[in-house]
Amino acid sequence: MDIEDFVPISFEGRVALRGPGGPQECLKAFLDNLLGALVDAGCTAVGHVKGMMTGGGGEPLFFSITTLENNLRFQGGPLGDSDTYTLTMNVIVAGLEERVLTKTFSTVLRGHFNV
Amino acid sequence: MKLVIITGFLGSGKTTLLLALLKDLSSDGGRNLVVLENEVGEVGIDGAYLETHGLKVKELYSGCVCCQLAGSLVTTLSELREALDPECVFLETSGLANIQNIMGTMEKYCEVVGPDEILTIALLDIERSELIFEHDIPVIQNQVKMADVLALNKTDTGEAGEAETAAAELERMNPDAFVVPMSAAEGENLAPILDRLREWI
Repeated sequence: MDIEDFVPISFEGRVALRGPGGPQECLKAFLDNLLGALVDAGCTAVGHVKGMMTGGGGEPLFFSITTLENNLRFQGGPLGDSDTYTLTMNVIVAGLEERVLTKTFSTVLRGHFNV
Repeated sequence: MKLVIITGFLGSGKTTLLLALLKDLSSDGGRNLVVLENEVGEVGIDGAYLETHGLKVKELYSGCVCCQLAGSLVTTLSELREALDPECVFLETSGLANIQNIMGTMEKYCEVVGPDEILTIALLDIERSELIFEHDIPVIQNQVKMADVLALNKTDTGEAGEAETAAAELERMNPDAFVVPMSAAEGENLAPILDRLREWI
């Protein structure tokens, strides 16, 4: 394994919750499924999956995952109530081509949020 | 102006350690400390996180200061010195940064950039110790070999004896470094690093 094996992608945009529960619950479900989908697609190591969600007049909610075993950690928050939130993310993983990583991310994101 | 470089692989806890150190150092009062944040991703996240804790942060993102953004690093350090005259700049590198290249840039442009001294703190994540000891990843090997302080992070998550074994191996790899097993997230054993920084700054 070397540094060149790690591929980064970024996302920044407005998202609306699709499922039940609040923004943190939706975010957790999204991140859990994202990690599973990345592993299924052939991801061999997580550099990091990190980001922040803002909106609703609350405090920014930060999150990060650094292992394939999903050590998801939240910091900050709580977010306020809103129809939409701003989601900002950087994903860097090994074992996937950028095209596959982008497609996997986009598919899982759209399964949990209206983008 | 002095420069502290906080480096370490992706997810090793650099931002968490930086925040813990700066919160403590800021409590001394009267310190003029600035953070220069570098992320390889196209959007900045760590800078926003640090700013929510009241720190002065300048961001360089969408590339790494060890290569694509080396010129921006030089320019930004020079601008920070001119505009804010900080006592110390804390540079958090991206998780993919090659510290050897950064030190080369600093050496080459030292008169322009002007850090009087540089202290390098490298974080190593005990949860992913295989990246340090089993894979021969040049970027991580350089971090270990070139660090003044080796912060062995997340020791609260390891098994009994794991931190001691890893610390001994790091001491073997870099006998000149100050090796500190700690947990940035839990605030455990940060005192040796803080003492070193207070003495040095």
